[in-house]
Amino acid sequence: MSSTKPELEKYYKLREEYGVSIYVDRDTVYITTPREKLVDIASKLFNEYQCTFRTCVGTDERPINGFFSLTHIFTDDRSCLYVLVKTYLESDDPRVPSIVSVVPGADWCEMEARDLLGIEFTGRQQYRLVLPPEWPNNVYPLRKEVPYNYRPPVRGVSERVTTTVETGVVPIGPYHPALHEPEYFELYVEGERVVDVNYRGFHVHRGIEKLGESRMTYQQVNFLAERICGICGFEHSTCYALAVEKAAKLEVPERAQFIRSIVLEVERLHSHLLLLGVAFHLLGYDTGFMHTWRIREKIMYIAELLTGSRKTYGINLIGGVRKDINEEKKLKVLETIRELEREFKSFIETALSVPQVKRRLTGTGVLPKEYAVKLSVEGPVARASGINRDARRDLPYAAYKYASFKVPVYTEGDNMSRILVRVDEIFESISIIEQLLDKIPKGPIMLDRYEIPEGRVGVQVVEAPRGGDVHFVITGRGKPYRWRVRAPTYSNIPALKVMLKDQPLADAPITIASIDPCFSCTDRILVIRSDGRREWIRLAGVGI
Amino acid sequence: MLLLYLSLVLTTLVGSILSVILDGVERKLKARIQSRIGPPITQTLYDLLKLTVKESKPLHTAPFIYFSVTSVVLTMMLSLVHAHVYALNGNVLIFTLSISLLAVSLTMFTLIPLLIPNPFAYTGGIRELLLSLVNESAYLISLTVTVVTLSIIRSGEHSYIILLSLALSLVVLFISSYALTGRVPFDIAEAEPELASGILVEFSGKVLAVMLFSTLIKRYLVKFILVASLLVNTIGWGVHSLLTSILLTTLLWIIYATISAILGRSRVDIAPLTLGKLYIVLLGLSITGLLVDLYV
Repeated sequence: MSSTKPELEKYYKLREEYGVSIYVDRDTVYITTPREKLVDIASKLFNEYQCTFRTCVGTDERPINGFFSLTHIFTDDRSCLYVLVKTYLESDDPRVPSIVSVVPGADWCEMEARDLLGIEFTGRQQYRLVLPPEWPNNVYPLRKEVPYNYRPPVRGVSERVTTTVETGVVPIGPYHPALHEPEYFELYVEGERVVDVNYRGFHVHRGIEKLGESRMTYQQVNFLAERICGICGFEHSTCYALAVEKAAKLEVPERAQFIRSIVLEVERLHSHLLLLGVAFHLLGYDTGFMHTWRIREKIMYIAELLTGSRKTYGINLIGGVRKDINEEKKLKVLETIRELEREFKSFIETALSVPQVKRRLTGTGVLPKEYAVKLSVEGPVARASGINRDARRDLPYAAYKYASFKVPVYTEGDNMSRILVRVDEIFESISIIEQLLDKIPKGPIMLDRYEIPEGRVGVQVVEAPRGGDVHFVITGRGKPYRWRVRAPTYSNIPALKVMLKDQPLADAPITIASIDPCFSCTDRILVIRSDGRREWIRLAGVGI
Repeated sequence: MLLLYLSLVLTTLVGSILSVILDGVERKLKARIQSRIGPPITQTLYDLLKLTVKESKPLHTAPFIYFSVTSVVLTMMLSLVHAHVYALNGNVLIFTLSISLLAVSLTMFTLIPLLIPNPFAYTGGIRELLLSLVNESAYLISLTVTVVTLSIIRSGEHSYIILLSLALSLVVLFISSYALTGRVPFDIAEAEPELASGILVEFSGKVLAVMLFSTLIKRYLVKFILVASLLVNTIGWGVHSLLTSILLTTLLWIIYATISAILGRSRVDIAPLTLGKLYIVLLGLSITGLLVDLYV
């Protein structure tokens, strides 16, 4: 479908300028480019058009057309557009120029495509990111010929900390009281000052993409997607459902979209209150921690009322939702949420005026805007560094277009700003829930019948509490042919290097926590032993 | 004489048990402030007893550490015995011996983490050392100044300036005694979420139990010496002074527990510096007032 919309003109100009193919379908611009032009196109989109880089997706399309493909996902937030830049790669030479020199945020997704699909990136330093060091070479788990239950014969090796004379090393992780999931930060310190940081992540892989593409149906993947994260799982299942619905061009009933938005905001409230509690705990203010979590209980109650579960709601399906909201529930939700608002308002004023809390949040863990833009950080981390971006407003989905809300933006870029963004968002979420409950239309909550044709592409960004979740789907027969998930922490972790450098060691845990990291959403490898126990690094039964 | 020794052993035993029970009370109190039910007040006792039957993970420097940990507890107990004697007889020499033993035990307590080959313990140890350098000296100086000013006031011939001097030294005494107990915002050496318990990270089993017990005894002792020195120099010495000291120590423990529930943790580059500046100003003024009263 061609369009003469003014915001699309600049994309059509790319066709003349670079000779690339442009195709527009509703809110998505598809650009297909030869690999020689990829860096120029990426640079144009990122630096000139100021598009946001979200992630890149490698796909094994050999069974369909004999090629590998690499799709870079950008969003033009000012024009409400998704921009997909696709490059086909010869199956016997899957080599492509790296765009890291012009889009630094593409570092990890390129290396992930290299590890999982064997796509080689030229013009950059390549390293193993996702797979463990002892994983055999030339085995690429996301290639279609590799079965989901493939188990390579490998033996675990240990990785040792290295120290120099000048600096000491403080290891944070893989198991540490400040981290609630296994990740490893190596902080190089001089005295109590952090001079450098080394991050070693990807200790966990649940093989979800491979599972979704191989042994699950479209509807089953909803429930798998929800299990990506224990805190923002509903954001993932919504994002997946919306991506599939977009690919299949399904018109989901409005009432279902309202329910999705309401539950998404309930989940945001839960996540932000949880993070605030953790932040207070890390600052030694345990009374604040306990009271925040006490207030959070009200949200758990609302979640249970609306979905039947305190967490992992399980109400999303392709084509709608499974649970309706009746008048009685609506009134109870409104009553509880007003109570929550009142309690939170009086509590947070006190908590943020505790001298140690104020002092240790202000001016620490600073992420300047230029780095935030360069690294394509997401969510409250971006908004605390002066980036005015929120997918709920910029790329509206579900029922957000029916709600009026402010996007809080701070310019200081410090830990306090990241906390304040979340505090403001709590009040905005409460307001959104009230508005949507007031406006919720009557009607069905699920499509009666639908079809999902093969070979369609759907991409969706959902503004999760930590930033934009990205789900990319290529439809297949009865299940996704390719399903790519990118959690916001994936984009935010690289910024920690900037935030932690030259900071006091004591502020490292709160700085790490200030991005509200969700490592399990981000990671790719989890080893499940045959007896059901989890094991780190040693591969004795990989689920990929 | 035998009766005196028996009563001393008894009161010291009461002090030791009380410190463990008061920690349980503190946990309960904090829980109530935080809208929780909290553990029973005997929980700390159960924790310590449980640790004594748990395996101790040996360290490279184990002999030094075991020696130091045992010495810390014994020195603190000895200091506590002398503090009790002081409350009973008001002997200044006994008082001096008690605070000297306290100073020795606190110094040893501070140095133990530096013997442990672990970056968290070492960092915690350095933090403890920095805080102690500022805090212990302020505690001991302000205690001395308080006792001297109280003696002058009791003698009857004093100017009003000495009252100001006393007030200032008391402020320092209470702040430094609070900081010495290692509660927030001054728990930077342990800082569990930052340093994975810092100075305690490598301890386990019986050694951890003894270290935790020494922390509790330290909390009790620091407050008891403060209270006893005030009471002996105001209401006089004797059994009533000893019993009132124990009672007021309990009260002070509860007050400190309440304060710690409403604050957050400070940082190693903030806490010692802030305390140092405060102590210099207050103690400077207090000592100047004392000297003015003595010589002018």
